[in-house]
Amino acid sequence: MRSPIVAMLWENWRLTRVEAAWRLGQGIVLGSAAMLWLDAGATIAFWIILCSNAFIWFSIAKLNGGRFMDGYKPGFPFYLLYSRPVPTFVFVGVTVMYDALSGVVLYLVSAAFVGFVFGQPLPMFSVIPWILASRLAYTCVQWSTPNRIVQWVGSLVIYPPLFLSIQHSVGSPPQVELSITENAVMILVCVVSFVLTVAGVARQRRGDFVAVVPRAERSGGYPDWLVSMFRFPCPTTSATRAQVWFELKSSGLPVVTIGLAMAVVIFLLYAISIAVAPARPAAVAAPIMFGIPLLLFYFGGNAFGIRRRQGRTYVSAFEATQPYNTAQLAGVKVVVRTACVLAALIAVGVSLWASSSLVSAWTEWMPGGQQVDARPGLLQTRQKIGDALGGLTGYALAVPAIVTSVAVAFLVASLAAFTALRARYSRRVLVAGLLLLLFVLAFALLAWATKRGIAPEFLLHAILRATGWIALAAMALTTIYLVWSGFAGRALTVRYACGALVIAAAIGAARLAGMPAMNVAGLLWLVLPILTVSFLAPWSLNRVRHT
Amino acid sequence: MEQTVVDVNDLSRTFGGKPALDGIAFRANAGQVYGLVGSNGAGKTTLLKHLLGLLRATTGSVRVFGLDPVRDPVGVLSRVGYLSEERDLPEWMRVDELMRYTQAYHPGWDASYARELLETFALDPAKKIKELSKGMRAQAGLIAAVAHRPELLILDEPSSGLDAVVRRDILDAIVRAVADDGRTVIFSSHLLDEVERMSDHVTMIQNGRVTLSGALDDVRGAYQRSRVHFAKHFDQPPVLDTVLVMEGGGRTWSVVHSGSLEQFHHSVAANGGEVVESRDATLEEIFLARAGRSRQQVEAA
Repeated sequence: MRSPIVAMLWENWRLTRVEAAWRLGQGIVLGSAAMLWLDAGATIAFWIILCSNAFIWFSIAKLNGGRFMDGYKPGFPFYLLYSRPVPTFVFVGVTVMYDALSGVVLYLVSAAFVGFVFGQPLPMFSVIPWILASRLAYTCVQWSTPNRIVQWVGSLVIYPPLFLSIQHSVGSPPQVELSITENAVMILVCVVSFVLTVAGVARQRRGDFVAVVPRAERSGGYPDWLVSMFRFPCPTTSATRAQVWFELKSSGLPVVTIGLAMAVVIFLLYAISIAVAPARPAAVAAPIMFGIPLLLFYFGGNAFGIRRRQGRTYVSAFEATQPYNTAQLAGVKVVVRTACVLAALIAVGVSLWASSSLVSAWTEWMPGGQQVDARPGLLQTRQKIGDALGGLTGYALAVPAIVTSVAVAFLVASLAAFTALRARYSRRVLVAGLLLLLFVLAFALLAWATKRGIAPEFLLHAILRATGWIALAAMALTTIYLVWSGFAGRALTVRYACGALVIAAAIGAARLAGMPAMNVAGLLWLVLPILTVSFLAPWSLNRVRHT
Repeated sequence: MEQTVVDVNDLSRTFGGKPALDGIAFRANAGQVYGLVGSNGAGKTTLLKHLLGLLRATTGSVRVFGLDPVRDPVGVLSRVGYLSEERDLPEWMRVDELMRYTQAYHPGWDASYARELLETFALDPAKKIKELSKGMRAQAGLIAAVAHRPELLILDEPSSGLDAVVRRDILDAIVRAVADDGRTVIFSSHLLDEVERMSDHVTMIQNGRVTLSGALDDVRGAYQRSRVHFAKHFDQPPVLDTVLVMEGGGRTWSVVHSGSLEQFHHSVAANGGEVVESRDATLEEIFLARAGRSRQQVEAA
């Protein structure tokens, strides 16, 4: 590679090729599924494919040390180029253009494939200016400054107008028709974004901003002020108490704090929306569509604290060399994180419940009266939930509370195990994921063929039924292997295994008590995943602890 | 009878198909200091990680206190103190929190010893780890590793980041005190003078294999450095018995050799030369000779 531009392009390709495959697969599979099973399939497929390719490459963002809240140092990710004899606008231009054009190419390939297979063409070249503008604007916000507040606010500010600009021109079937003025605006956004990005990166290169070089070691991933907010001494009386303290301090209490902050924001959003009508849809939708999933999947994820640095994932040697049993360690980590996520969810839920009473203070849903008024529906739903919960006895309330707790613990343990497995067996996890995507795609195509009468219906049902049983059998065999391997490698303890069995049995029994006529498959689908994940979590932690 | 603390047999480990350790055998007894030397990527840290159970052996066995550190991490790690090369400590913790956290795992924690070391290093207990310099992190990590008075102390490049005074006066003293207590120290270092100063035994690892192992005095006694003068001019080093490396040119050559001096003298005389002077080789000279990195070879490369 004699040319620095070719070298930079190669570097970008190497960093993003896996994510590119995922985005391509995700767009095609989810787009195909939407085409197949939804009435407005083409429109939904269009939005899925567009959104899959309209955001920044996460793999490039990871260059700075991981996810945003996991030690990610904001700013231009290719800071190593600062010391190379290349003008700033060249390396910024190469990176920005690679990011934007790769998004365009992936969109075109996905849209062309889905449109061709299902005979409903999706918008192609007319949407290119929008994709370019959105990606350049986003990279500008993310890369031109290392200031997280500016990045957060900037990301929130740029997307609503961009989506609104394209929303009005999309019909059913989807057709993007941007006017000359709109296209000119998109080009202007591209140019301004690029200039601002170059200027911002040039400042970083000169050292005018705080250096964004990643640190050698990382804390739990949360901002320092958040971790330092709670000061209480580490107990020295037992290792378990010390480990609970460690988990609470490093990630648990920050999650609770974020939940409380969300609760306050939700209330403020509802309060503001009394006076500001356009904020009403956001007040209703944002907590449910973003707040709760964020708490569950983002802040509830990576409970084992797997670290990322420059493409390497590993477990902290400091934690791994503490004399503590792996099953206990996994159990403490999952339980503490679950408790904190639940506390955060409760805060958000209480705030949502209290704030939603303000809906009655809204004079109308939106000014203009063109939209469907959502107020009666919201108030009715609120009333129903209130009546349902009010009618329950203390015992009856305990059951959903326990089920919810187990469900959150299941999710936290699954995400932790997945992160650990991906760190230890990245290639195998990738292959398994791609195979799963391929299977879903093949199944979607078969369903489409059945719908058209090309393939017999019984085949589809047979495959669906067989898939269910094969999945159950795979889970059962996996659980047996995990138990055997866990005990053979001493990753599991009898106490831990008994605890997992009791929880699974209790959930199964509770379900049976509520639904005595439940079939075997239904019961297995409830109990087996709990058991599998219960044993997978310590096993996977053991695998990254002793690689 | 000497008590065996570490027993590694035929240990092999590959990373992505490439061998990192290849049939390593290593044994450490109580009350001794063992120094691991080797060039970058030789396998020192990989061996230490196997002792801690952070890595699983592809083949072979690792026993620490007679236990497998992968299968019984609690049994092994509760008796081990470890300072990692990366100084991998939680950045959000304060120094005093680090001490209390480590104390919780080790009932034998000696709080007064920890305090004494904190004062010796002049470490502020209220400071966060992230605010410490590299050397101060090493000091904090060292205190956490030694204050529970472990039976086995494993130090990976302990001098890295430490200034000369701390390295020579404090680290040496700590390591000596541990060994004098009848406990064992295994440390890796690329500073050969440090290994020579601190250790009782030295093990040299090259390309994942042990190329030299033994008591330091025995190792040093087994190698000599001699200056040899020949009657005739040599463009290339003459072939001599037991020679590891020859440097120089023409009529005068410096030679690192093993085996008996008598045999060496005889071999030199057979080539028309004489040994001008001989002395025990330093560890650095032995290392360079064994690693095949004589100045001449580097220049030739």
